[in-house]
Amino acid sequence: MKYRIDYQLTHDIDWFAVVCGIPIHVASNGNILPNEVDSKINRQIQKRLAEIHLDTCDVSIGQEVTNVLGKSGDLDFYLETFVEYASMGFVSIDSHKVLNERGSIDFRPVIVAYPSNRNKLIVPEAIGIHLPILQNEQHKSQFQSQLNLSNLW
Amino acid sequence: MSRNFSYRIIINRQSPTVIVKEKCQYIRRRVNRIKNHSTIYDYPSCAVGCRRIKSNELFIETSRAHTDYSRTPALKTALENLGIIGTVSYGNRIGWCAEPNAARSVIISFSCGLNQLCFTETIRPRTLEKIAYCKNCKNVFKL
Repeated sequence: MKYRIDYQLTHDIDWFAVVCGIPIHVASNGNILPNEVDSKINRQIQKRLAEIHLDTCDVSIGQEVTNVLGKSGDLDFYLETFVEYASMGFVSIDSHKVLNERGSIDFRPVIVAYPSNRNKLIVPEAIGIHLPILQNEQHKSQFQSQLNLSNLW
Repeated sequence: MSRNFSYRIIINRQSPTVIVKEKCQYIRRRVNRIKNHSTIYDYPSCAVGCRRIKSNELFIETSRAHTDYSRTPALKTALENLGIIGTVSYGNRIGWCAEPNAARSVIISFSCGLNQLCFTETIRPRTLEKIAYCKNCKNVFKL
């Protein structure tokens, strides 16, 4: 079952998936979620991650974070939830809002935090629930080309 | 799971934006505490405070869909000038932002006009960063 559209647009949902073999956590920031994300499974993943105690790992911070945050925010507050998921082994991504030339809002994915060591990426079996695999070419290319996920390490 | 975070607060000396940030911190703690008790709530995407000019009562609301604007006809008309409530205008759904929700609470309490409202900065509760007002809210409230 999908999240209701009104819920997606008014909430900042943590969603999880695998793209190009890399497990990602994304903060939706009111953006539309990919079709592959099922609300029931996503909640199960959220619950499971809160329940199980995974080994935490060292985390690196994305290069663009300071540009995105600007002067308006507190870096520690900004990083908190992203670092939490990155330390579990996800590449943690924020959906950054940008105003386009028409005056409406576009979302641009920005890597906020990721495990310092590629070998520390979470193995989906550790959660016990299958993470959805992003099949949609648009999403795949968005994450692959804009974020250059495979060249993080 | 959805949860409504609405507050009505008397301002003393603090800046209204600081109060909104404090409430956003409370929302963060609440979302995290609930998470540890295996019920999951998601963060609202934004929160804002609104008050009538010269009043010391601040109303804090978060983004929410399907708000009933029938008790605030002036606000409803201003929103409908942009399009049908709930449809997309400039990338956002009309009437679903935190600003019209907060404005509605103030207008119902004080029977004031749209030109008597003042807003705090809009804050994203997850990160406490400031969010720019959307074009719809700028048009309706002349921000």
